[in-house]
Amino acid sequence: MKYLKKLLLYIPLIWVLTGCQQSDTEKQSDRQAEASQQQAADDENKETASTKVIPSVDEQPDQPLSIDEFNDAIYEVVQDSIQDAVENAVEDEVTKEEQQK
Amino acid sequence: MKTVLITLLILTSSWIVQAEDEIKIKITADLPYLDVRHNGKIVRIMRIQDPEHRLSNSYAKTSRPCPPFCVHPIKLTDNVQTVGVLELLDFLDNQVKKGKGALVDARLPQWYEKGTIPGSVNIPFPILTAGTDNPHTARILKLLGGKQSKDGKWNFENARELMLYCNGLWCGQSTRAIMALIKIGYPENKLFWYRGGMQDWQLLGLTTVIP
Repeated sequence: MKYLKKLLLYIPLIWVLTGCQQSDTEKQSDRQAEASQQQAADDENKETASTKVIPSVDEQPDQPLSIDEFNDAIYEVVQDSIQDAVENAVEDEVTKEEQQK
Repeated sequence: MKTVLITLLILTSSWIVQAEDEIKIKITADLPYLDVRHNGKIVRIMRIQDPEHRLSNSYAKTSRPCPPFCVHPIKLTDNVQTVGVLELLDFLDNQVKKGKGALVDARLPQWYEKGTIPGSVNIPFPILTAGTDNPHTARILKLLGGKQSKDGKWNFENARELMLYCNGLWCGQSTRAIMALIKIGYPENKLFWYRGGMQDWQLLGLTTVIP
């Protein structure tokens, strides 16, 4: 009876201690798993970073133009294209005239 | 000194209120005018205040031979949005002001020089229909925010929204520009079509500028 009482007292104590130890073990294994996952992710990132193509200066986004700068830039291109069209038309006319001669 | 300043303040504010009250022909009940930038200056878009005003220029003309001056459908493609005057003004006030959009007059320069919508930029449709091999087309696309990769493909992910117009319901210049942009790969959801064009604009007596 005496032993039984002691046993009844110790059983919950042992159960609690074992349980705690178990959860500690679980936590530790979880931490290890997390660490290995993090390590894998870091490795992957390092690999990606080393293979990633850094865009050239030309490909990087330009500074946004103000309304006036944008309009001026468009105007310049349009004027250039008109100039080219005129020059091409003149050249075509000259070629035609030469062919007719 | 204090009295003079207060008097000046009262006079100025009453002058502003009076100026706004003088606008009898507003754009909408809540919108008397809209100020926009054009060629480095602020231009006020408002309606002609003369109730007797009639169009007497080329936009008063009703009939032109079709083809080529045929009436266009309300919808150009499934994803290009057709817009009216109020949407255009909102576009000027938001996307254009913030540098996220451009109002494009797609007409030939000789039309543009006769008068256009304040805040617009002239990109004549032949530049866009010339194709990406044309250096001028490529320069324009880059200015609009397009990025060309080394393999020659264009990416318009960060490109500006464009609202295009030409002379009116019977004009094919903006439609040709839009179809060319779509062919190049410009996203349709970044394209807007002001179908009414200059004729619609002038029928409402809205401000035009000679560039």
